[in-house]
Amino acid sequence: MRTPARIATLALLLGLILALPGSPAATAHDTKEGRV
Amino acid sequence: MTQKVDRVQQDDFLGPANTTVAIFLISVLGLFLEMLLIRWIGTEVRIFAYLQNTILVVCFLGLGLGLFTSRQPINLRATLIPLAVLGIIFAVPLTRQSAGMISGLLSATGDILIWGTLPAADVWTRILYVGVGLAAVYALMVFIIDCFVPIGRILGRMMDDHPRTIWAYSVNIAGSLVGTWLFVLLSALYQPPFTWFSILAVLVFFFLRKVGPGWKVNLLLLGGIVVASWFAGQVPGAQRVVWSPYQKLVVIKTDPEEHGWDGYWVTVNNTGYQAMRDLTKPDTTDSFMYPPEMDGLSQYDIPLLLHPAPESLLIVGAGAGNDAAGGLRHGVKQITAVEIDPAIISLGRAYHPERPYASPAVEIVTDDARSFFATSDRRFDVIVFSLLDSHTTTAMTNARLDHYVYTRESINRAKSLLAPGGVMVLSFEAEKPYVADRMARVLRDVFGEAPIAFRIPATGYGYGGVLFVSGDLQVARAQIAKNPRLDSLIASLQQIFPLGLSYTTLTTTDDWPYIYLETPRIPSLYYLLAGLLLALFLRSYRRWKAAGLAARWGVSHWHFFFLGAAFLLLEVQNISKASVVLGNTWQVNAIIVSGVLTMALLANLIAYKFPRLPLSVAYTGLIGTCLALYFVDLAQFAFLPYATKALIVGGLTTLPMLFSGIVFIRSFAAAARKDEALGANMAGALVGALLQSITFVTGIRALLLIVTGLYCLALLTRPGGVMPKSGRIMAQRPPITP
Repeated sequence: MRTPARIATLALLLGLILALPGSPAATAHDTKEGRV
Repeated sequence: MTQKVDRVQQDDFLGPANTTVAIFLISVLGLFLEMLLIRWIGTEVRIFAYLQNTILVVCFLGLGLGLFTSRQPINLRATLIPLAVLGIIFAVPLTRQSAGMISGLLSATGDILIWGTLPAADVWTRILYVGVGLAAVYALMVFIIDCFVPIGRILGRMMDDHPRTIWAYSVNIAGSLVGTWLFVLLSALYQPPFTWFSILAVLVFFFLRKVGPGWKVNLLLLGGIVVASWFAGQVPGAQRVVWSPYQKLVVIKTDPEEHGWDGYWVTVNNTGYQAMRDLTKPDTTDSFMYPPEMDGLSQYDIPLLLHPAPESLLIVGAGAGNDAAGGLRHGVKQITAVEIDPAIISLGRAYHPERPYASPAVEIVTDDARSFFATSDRRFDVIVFSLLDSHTTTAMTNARLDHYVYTRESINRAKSLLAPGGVMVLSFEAEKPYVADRMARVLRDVFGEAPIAFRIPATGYGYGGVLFVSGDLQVARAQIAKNPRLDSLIASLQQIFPLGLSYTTLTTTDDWPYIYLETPRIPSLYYLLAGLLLALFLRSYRRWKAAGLAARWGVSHWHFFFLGAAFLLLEVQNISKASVVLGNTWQVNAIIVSGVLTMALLANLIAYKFPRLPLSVAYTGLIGTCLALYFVDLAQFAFLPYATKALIVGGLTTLPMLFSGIVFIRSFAAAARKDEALGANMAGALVGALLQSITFVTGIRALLLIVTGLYCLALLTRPGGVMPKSGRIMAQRPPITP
């Protein structure tokens, strides 16, 4: 695989991660819960 | 990328005309870049802070492939393009966020605990998460490995061409260690990625015009990488971003409208860590955030209420000062706040609304908790282990920063710092029941009595976690009985959040410190990553035209392979042991690295001065010291002054490397192909890095037996030959016969 194709694959995967259902962006320590 | 073979001059100087300077600079560059990537990727893709070995192995793989194929054309652009890609990923907030999510995806394997968990998901969703996570890791790794191949080729060719092997190898070691030191120094000075990459650019610049075609384009790429690194160090909307010696800390001013509270929020390596807010003025109108029954009974207040008259308070993992503020609210006169990261203390000083660190009653100690326990002879009425769960490791070991604080030996030592009638309160965010059970069991073993344990929920008063109370429980119980609100709160919390402690979970010790592993076994993620690395190797083997290597691989390659594997495992073992004695701080790396440097250079000197020294002496010394270290308990030196114990521990643990250094340089001088010998050594090192996972099953000390076994294999595969003063013979060259 040539460099442009490798870059495109990586970009695609990073995009896919953002689009995953229930993407695990939320962490146990969430500011919105107002935890100290 | 296409290699333009026809435009590459094979016999050109590859860098500065002075070969000593050139070998030194490429060695500095190689190790500096390796340290940089280990830290950078570990910070942004947090799971690799816990799996630093993976990045290390990938770097070694790239260097090793470069060394093996050093006679192939070299094009520096093959280093610069992957670096530019990584730079852009971490410079653009959206792609940085996406790469950061890989941690959560991989944690879906379920048997490796990292802070921040996935929402409940069915098995197929988990498989999808792990699959996408692994694919993204593979895609990232491809870029990392490719960075190192040209560097390995430059080094391999210069080493192989150099007329004085011992000198060239000594320069290589010195350069490698200066590269490591340089990065450690930048970290210690709080430098951000922009500084790292600026220095990297200077190092690359020495080779830019000499290696490969199109140097002007390469110069532009290099400039682009430095610019991207500036953006990679910024966080939009942050009050402040600090790259401390340990981690990336971001301070965010919370918006009462959006977050529901006013104060400051600190994230560590992109995940929430601690908040700073004024608990003297809770918003009692918000009963969800501030339950009335917890008013004055936060996790920062309770420890002080368990002692009738707390005069002295020790806090380990003091962070930005929430516990110290709690101590001050209860009028404690002497508060000792121990925190490993000086940057977090500075943030507490600057932003904590209750200003705990400005109080003359608070003494701040920047140290590892374990190291403080070992050296303090003071006694405290109350000892608090704050929520010092960590988001990183310091080094190439698989023990996280917090691991050695919760071992039986550590708790035992902490117990000795309790004044008569003293109480110890340990808070821990036990995400899984076995973690709470393990903590409770360690405390019961040490104190001879089961702790009082209850879970505090996350509220505006604190993040919560499980609180374990030990020490003089008669005193603590009497205090609880005297305080009906506290008594009723604890009783209701025990009822609402039953902990189900069975006291059956294996406890952690200095030899097996893995808090987040339920039983001694290798987590499945490690196997998946090992498979991924194998796939990566096969891909890179073809991509970088290493074909033929398997056919050429002979006994002498195995010799260097075993030496490399043993060396890496020995270093891991050394850092683990030193972390127990000296504290799990970044200085430990520097001490061990310095020890290795001294021993390797000393070995070269001995090999040079005594070329006919029987190798049996070196092998006996090597295997003897490894076995001796197996039986020596270095923890006995923990009480000594820092400089003394650093010298003793640094010297003793690296002693086998003196002998292995002699063996290596003798064999290396005798090797027909220096580049391949170094490549085989590197391949061994990466296998050694993977073998480290065995400690999850066997404990850390057993590594010494494995190291001894590997050195025995190196002995069995040793090449013959006696080295002349020039340090260059070809032992494997067929005898010249008439």
